[in-house]
Amino acid sequence: MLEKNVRRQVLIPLTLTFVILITSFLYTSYRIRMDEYASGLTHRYHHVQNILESLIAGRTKSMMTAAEFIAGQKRFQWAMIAGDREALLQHASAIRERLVAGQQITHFNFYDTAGRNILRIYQPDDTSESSERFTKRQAMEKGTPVSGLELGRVGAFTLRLTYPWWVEGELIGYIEFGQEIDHILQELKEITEIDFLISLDKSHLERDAWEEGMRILGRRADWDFLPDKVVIDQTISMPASVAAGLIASRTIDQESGSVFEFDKRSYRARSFPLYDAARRSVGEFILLKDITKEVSSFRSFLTRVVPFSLVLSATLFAFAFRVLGRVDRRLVQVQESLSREFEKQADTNQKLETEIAERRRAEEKLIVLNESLEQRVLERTSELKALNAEIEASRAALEEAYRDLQIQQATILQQDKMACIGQLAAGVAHDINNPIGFVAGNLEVIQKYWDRTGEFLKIQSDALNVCAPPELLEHVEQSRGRLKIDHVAGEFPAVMAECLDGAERVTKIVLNLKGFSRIDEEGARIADIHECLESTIGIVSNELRYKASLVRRYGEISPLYCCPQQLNQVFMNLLINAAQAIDRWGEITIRTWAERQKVFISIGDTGCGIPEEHLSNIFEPFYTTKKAGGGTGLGLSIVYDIIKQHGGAISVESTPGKGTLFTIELPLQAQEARSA
Amino acid sequence: MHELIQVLCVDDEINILNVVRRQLDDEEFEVQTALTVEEGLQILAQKTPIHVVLSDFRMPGMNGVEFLQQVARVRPEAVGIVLSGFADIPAVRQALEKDALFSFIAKPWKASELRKAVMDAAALSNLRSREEGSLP
Ligand SMILES: Nc1ncnc2c1ncn2[C@@H]1O[C@H](COP(=O)(O)OP(=O)(O)OP(=O)(O)O)[C@@H](O)[C@H]1O
Ligand SMILES: [Mg+2]
Repeated sequence: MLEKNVRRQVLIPLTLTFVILITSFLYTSYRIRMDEYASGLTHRYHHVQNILESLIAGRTKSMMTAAEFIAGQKRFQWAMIAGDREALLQHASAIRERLVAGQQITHFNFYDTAGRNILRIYQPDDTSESSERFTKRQAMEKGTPVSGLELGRVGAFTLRLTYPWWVEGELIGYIEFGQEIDHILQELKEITEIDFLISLDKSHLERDAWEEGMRILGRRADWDFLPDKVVIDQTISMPASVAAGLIASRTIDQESGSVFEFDKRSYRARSFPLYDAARRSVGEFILLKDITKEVSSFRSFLTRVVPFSLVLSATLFAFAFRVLGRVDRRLVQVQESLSREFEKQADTNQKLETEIAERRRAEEKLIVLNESLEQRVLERTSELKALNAEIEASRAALEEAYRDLQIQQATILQQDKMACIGQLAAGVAHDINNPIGFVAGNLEVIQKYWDRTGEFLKIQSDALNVCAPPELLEHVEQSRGRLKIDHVAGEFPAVMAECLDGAERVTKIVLNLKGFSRIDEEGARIADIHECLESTIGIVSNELRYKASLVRRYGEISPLYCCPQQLNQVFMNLLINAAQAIDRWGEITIRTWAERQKVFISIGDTGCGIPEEHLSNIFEPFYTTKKAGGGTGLGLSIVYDIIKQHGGAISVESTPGKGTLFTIELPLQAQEARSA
Repeated sequence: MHELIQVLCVDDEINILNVVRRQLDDEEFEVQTALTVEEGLQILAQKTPIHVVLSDFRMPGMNGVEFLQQVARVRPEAVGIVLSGFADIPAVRQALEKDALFSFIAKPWKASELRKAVMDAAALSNLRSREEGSLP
């Protein structure tokens, strides 16, 4: 199968190539020949036409000369002007023989100025009007000689010349010459040695006249020879069927012409249209060339070339066939070994394929598994994320709650601390008030008793001075000196004053403690800020005493509706912070003033100050710069809280290294004051 | 012809009683003292006249204001004075406003302050007993 394929595949195109090559070669050489013939024919036609034209021109010229000769003869003129037919005939007959013999002029007529027939020299008896002719009409119109070929009714071509006869500027008539073309054609045949055939369209002819004409010329006249044409002249006589086929041939008027054979000879023919003087196409001039020799030479060329090329092709074909056969065999062997190899391979392939299929299935399973795994991981991740977020949120909430708790706890602690101090103070005040009460009372009693004792002693000494013996007086005086009675008497008021002062101070401390805690009071009431300040100062005086001198710049302020206990806490925190800010010794200034329905309290110190970047933090809970255990960082946050609850505001100004000033403003008409 | 001003002082602290007695041991005053409310009421139950009753505020069993209210029922002519620590001020102030007692003296007090308060109270007491005497 493969073998056949290879051979077919190579041999068919090869054979086709040979065939095409040979065919195209033959066709090309044939075309070249044809072209040669065609151009040869055309060339020949032109040649013939040239000769024909020069022949016609020569004849026309000789007719012209004859006409001019006659027109110039006085006797002709006179005869013509006189209209003397006899004279004209006589004069013309004198030159008639010469015209016929020398110039083959077969027509010699005279016409008057209106073109009417005057005299036919060759048929003087025929006075009938001649048929209308192109040359005559043209000459009459133009007034100049006009010549041309004209087809007569008899089917003969006539070369005619109509010559207007002018005598001294006046037209006296026309001279007409004519000669049959036959003569010219005979001459042409002799000169060119060609064969031709002239056919005419029947439409231009009259059958009887034509047959008569042909009989006169001694030619065969066969009107029915062809359906629409008649043959008027031919150099080779051929059967009607051949002539008819030739004329009807389609290619005959083309450049290559048409080829036909008869009588064992080959001819090439080409037709050219025939025109008369009026340029009417009246028939055909068919040029014939005998190509028998050329055809036979072409045939012999073919008989030599075709077998040669066939043999060559066959040899090549055989060679190719053999070579291909060898290649085929080789191919078959290779194919066989290949197919064996292929079978082996196929086995392995089969195994491989099953393996691959298994792998693919496994992979698919894996992909599915992976996908679900990924999905699960994703789900888990998002769950975890959500959980994390929840945890984070709850952690934040917890932190916040814890912080709130811390703040609350610290606040409670602070307030507890205050409450404790208050309770303690109240208890202490009660317990101290009694002893202080009787200490102070007894001191007064002592004073009274001392006064009384002094009075009595004076009376006694006066009595002694009056009646006592000098030794006793001496003794009394000595005792007075030894006991330093005078000194005692002098010191006693100071001792008393100091004791009373001490008692008073204790009283004051207790008072302050109580006043600060206000444990005994309801929350909000009308209170005097200065009183609050003073009680606070009393409490913290120990803190302040060794740190700063306290400067009071109290202005005129009216009592305020507030929680004095809480305001005390505010003042205490501010004063303690101030004292703590002072490193060694400084000044703490408390100012109060009233302005626009508001009370202002400012507490300034000359301490370390607060860096600007920390100013915003100090009111935050737990913000402290004091070392661990030093401060809770709650003081100012509680201050802020309390002032806010009083509907007031607190502001701070500080210059690091110079000091700090806290200013509190409280509205006189507090909107809401929290109860304690 | 001076009639002595009869003063009853009630306090659970003996030292206070002593001081008060010492401070008022002048001619015009006669001071009786009681360490408990009951003792004070016993003294009042005797027919001896009492013009002024000085009472501590904080005492076991009864506070000063309550005691003085009882005194007013037994001896309407007696005028009450409370000797008080600061812690007790709100309750005392309330009593003052109700006219249940004449005045109060904060501990610690001044002798002159005490004498003046007692004198004023005695004057009021005299006024009360005269009105009482003319009425029936
Ligand atoms: N008068 C001041 N001069 C300088 N720094 C101050 C002054 N007042 C407050 N500060 C600063 O503000 C911080 C916060 O003060 P806050 O009173 O709130 O807490 P604290 O004083 O540190 O602790 P605590 O009040 O519990 O003792 C202080 O640690 C201190 O750094
Ligand atoms: Mg602080």
